[in-house]
Amino acid sequence: MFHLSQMDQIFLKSLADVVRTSRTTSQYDKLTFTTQTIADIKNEIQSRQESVRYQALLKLFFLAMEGNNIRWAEFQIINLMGSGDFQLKLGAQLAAHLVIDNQSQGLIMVTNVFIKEFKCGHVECSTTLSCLGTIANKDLSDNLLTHVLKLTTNTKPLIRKKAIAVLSKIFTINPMNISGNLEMVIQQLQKETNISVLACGISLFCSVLKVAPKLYPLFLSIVYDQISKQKSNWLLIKLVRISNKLISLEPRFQGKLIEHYTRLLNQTNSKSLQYELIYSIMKYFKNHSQLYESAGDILKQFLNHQDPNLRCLGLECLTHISTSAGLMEFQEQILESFKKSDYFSKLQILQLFKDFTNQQNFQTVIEFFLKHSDLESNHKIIESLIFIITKDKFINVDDPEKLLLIYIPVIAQKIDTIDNAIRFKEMLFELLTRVPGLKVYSDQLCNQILQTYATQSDSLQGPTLNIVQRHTQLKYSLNHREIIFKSLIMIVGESVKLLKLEALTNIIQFLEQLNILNCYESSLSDIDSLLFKIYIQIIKTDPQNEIIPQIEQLIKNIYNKLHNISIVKISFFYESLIQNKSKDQLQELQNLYEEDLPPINLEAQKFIKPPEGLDLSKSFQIDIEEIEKIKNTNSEYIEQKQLIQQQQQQQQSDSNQKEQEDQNNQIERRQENEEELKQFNNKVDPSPKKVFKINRDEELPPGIDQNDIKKFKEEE
Amino acid sequence: MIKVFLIVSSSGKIRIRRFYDEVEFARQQQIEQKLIVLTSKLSPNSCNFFKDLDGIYDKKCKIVMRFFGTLYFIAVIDEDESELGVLDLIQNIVDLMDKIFDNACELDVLYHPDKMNALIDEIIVAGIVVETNIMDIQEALKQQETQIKNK
Repeated sequence: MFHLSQMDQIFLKSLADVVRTSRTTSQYDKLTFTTQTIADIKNEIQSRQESVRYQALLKLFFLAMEGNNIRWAEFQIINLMGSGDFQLKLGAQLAAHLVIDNQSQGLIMVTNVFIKEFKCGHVECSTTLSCLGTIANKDLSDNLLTHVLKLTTNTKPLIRKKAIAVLSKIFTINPMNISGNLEMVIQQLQKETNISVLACGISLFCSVLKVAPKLYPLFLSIVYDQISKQKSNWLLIKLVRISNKLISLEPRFQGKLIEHYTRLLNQTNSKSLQYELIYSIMKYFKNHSQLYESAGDILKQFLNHQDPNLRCLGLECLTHISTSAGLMEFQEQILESFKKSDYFSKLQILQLFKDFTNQQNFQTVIEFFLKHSDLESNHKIIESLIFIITKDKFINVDDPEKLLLIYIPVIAQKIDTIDNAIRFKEMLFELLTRVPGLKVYSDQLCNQILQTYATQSDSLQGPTLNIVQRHTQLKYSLNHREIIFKSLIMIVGESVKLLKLEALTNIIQFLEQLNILNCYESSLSDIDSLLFKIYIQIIKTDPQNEIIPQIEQLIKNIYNKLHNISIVKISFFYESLIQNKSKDQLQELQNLYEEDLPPINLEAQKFIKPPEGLDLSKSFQIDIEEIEKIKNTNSEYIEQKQLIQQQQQQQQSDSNQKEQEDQNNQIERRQENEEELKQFNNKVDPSPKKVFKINRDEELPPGIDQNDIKKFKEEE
Repeated sequence: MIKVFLIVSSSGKIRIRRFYDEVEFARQQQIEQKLIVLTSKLSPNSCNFFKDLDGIYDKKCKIVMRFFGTLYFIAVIDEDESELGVLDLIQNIVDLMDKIFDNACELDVLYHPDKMNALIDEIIVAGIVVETNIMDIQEALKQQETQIKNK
C-alpha cells in the first residue's frame, strides 16, 4: 500500500472522467484507453486513501459494464470486503458477483469476513446477507448456516426476510441442511405478521419442495392458514402457486381450498391473482362445475383482452384443458386472437392446436392457418400443419383425396425452409404409401405444384442443403424447392404405370421447358430416370406415338448436361428396349450413346492395381471351339429367360384384369344400392365417389417393399 | 425464483447482471449473449414474456422482458414466480430509479453503479423478491447512506 502524493491526486481520474473519456474515444484507441485504465486501477486500489480506493472500485464497475473482464481483481475485492470503511465494504460486496463464481478459490477467505459482519449493526448485516445470496456456494453455505439461522430471529424484519431468502438458497445447494433446521423456521413463520417475511417464507417452502417434496405435510397448515386470512395480493399469488404444488402431492388438500378460491375469485380485481386462480382451477378443479364455469368466464375475458400479456396467459391456461371438446368451446376466440398476436403468442397457439386438433376441426384449422401465415411465423405454421396432418398415422385426416389435391399444393407453395421441405417430402411419401389408390392423382399434384416452380425464377435462392453422393462422391446443393421437386419427380416415376397417356404427355411437355433443366441441375439424374420409365411405358402401350422422338431428344439433352450417367441406369434402359423395340428402332438409337461409358468411379482404377504379369488386353479363351460352345449355351439361356418373362407378363395382365373386374363390380353394386336408397334420401350423389382408406397398420400394403423406401431416403 | 436478472442497454452492453444460481462465468456469457439477441424480437405490441423454448437457461423457465427508454430489463424465472408479478417488479425498479436519480436514464446507471447495484440488492436476494414497497426500499437505502456519512 502506498500514499498518493498531492501531485498524483490532482491528476487522479474519477469515474466521471473515465466515462466521459470512454464515450469520446474512438474505437481504434479504445484498447489503449482500457489498458491504461486497468493499469491505473491496479495502482489505485492498493492506495491507503479510502477515497482513492473507492474511485478505483467504481471504475471497475464501469469496466465490467463495458464488457471487460475484471476477474483479475478478485483478491483485491475480497480484501476490500474486510476493510474498516463501510463505503468500501459495501462497494466490494456489490462488486463481488462480478469476480467470484462458485468455482472461485477466493470464497474460502470470505467466510470469516462474513461472520464478522453478521455481528455488526443491522445495516452491515443486511448488505452482507444480500452479497451472500449472490455468491454462496456449498462450502460457504455450510459454514455460515448457523449464523444465518440465528438471523431469522432478528428483531428487524429487513434482516429476517433476507436471512430466510438466503436460507432458501442454502437449503437448495445442500438439502442435508434442511433436517433439524426447517421446523424451527416454520415455527417462527407461524408467529410472523410481516408480509414481506411471510412471502419470503413461502418462497423458502417452494425451494424446499423442489429438493425434498416429501416434506410437504409440514407446509399444509401454514399455507391454509394464510390463504384463509391474507389480503395482500402479492402474498396470495405466492400462496396459490404453492397450493398447486401441494395439491399435486396431496389431492385431498384441494377440497379445503374450494371455498377460499371461490371467495377470492369473486372478490379480487387484480388480474395477476385472477390468473393464478383460474390456472389452478383449470388444472385441478375440473370436477367442481360451478367453480370451473366461473373460471371459464374469466378465461374468456383474458383471451379477448387488448393486453397481449393477458391473452398470452389465457392461452397458457388452455393447455390444461385436456379434452379437444373443451378446447372447441374456445376455438373461435383463439383463432381470432391469432390474427392480432405477436410471434411468441402465435407459437403458443400453434402448440395448442398441435395437441388438440381432431377430425372435426381439422379442415377449419388447416384452412385458417394457411390463410393467415405471415413471413415471420410461416415456417412454424407449416411445421405445425405437417405435424397435425401426420399425427398418429394421419388420424385427423378423413378425406385423403382432398388433402392431396387441395391442401398439399398450397402447403408446398408456402414452404420456404429446408427442414419443412424434408418434412413435406416424408409426409407425401407416407401418405401415398398408406393410401395406395392416391398414386393415380400424382400427375395432377405435380402439375399444380410444379407449374409455379417453372414460372418462378428464384428457385436457386435461399439456404441450401449440401449433399455428397455415397458411390460417386459427387457434391451438390439443394434448396427447399429442389427437394420438393425431386420428391415429386420420384412419385411420378413410381406411378407411371398407373397414369394415362395424356397425363404422361403433359409431364413430357412440362419437362421440355428449358429453364426446368437449367434451374434443377442437381435433379437431372432423377428427371432422366423418370423419362426412361415414361419412354418404356409409352413404347409398351403405343409404340407409334408422336411424342417418342421428343422424349428421345429430351434424354439426349439431359445426357449432354450430365457428365457421369450411371451405368446401372443405362443397362436397365437397354434391357427394357431390347424387349420392346425392333432391331431397326434400336439401330436409330445407337447414336444416342456413341461415346464410351465412363467407369462408375473415375478414381477407382487408382486404388486397384492389376496383378503383375496380367495383360488386360489379352483374351481369356484361345480355343475357338470352346468359344462357340459358350455362345450356344448363352443363346439357350437368353431364350429360356425370354420365355419365363413372357409367362410372368401374362400372369400380371390376368391379375390386372381381375382387379379391374372386381372394382367394376363394386362400383355397380354401389350404384344399385344408391338407386334403392334414392327414394329415402333427399340428397342424391350422382357419381359414385371413390373412398380412400388410410392404412394405419404397421405393415405396409402388398407390393411395397420397406427396403425401397429406406433406399430412397438413404440416397437423399 | 428469479434465476437471472439483467439490465441491458440498447447497444447490447450489460449494465447490471445477477445470476442467482451457481453458474460458471463461461456459461454466464453464453446466456447473456443469447438473451441480448432475443431483445430484437420485442416490439410494443408483443407479449412481454415467453417460454425458454430454445433452452437458453432452462426449457422449464420463462423469460420476461421489458423495455424502458434505452434499457432492456430481462428476468429469467422458474415456475414458482408469477410473470405479471415480475412485470410489476420491473415497473417498481424503474419508479425507484426515477425517485433516486430524478428522471433516470442510462447515464445514471453508468455514473452511479454502486447505488444501482444497492437498489437491486434491496429488492432481490438469492433470487427471491424480498420487498416491493417503494417506501421501505428507499428507507433501507437511506440507512446505508447515513452509515456511510457517519464513518
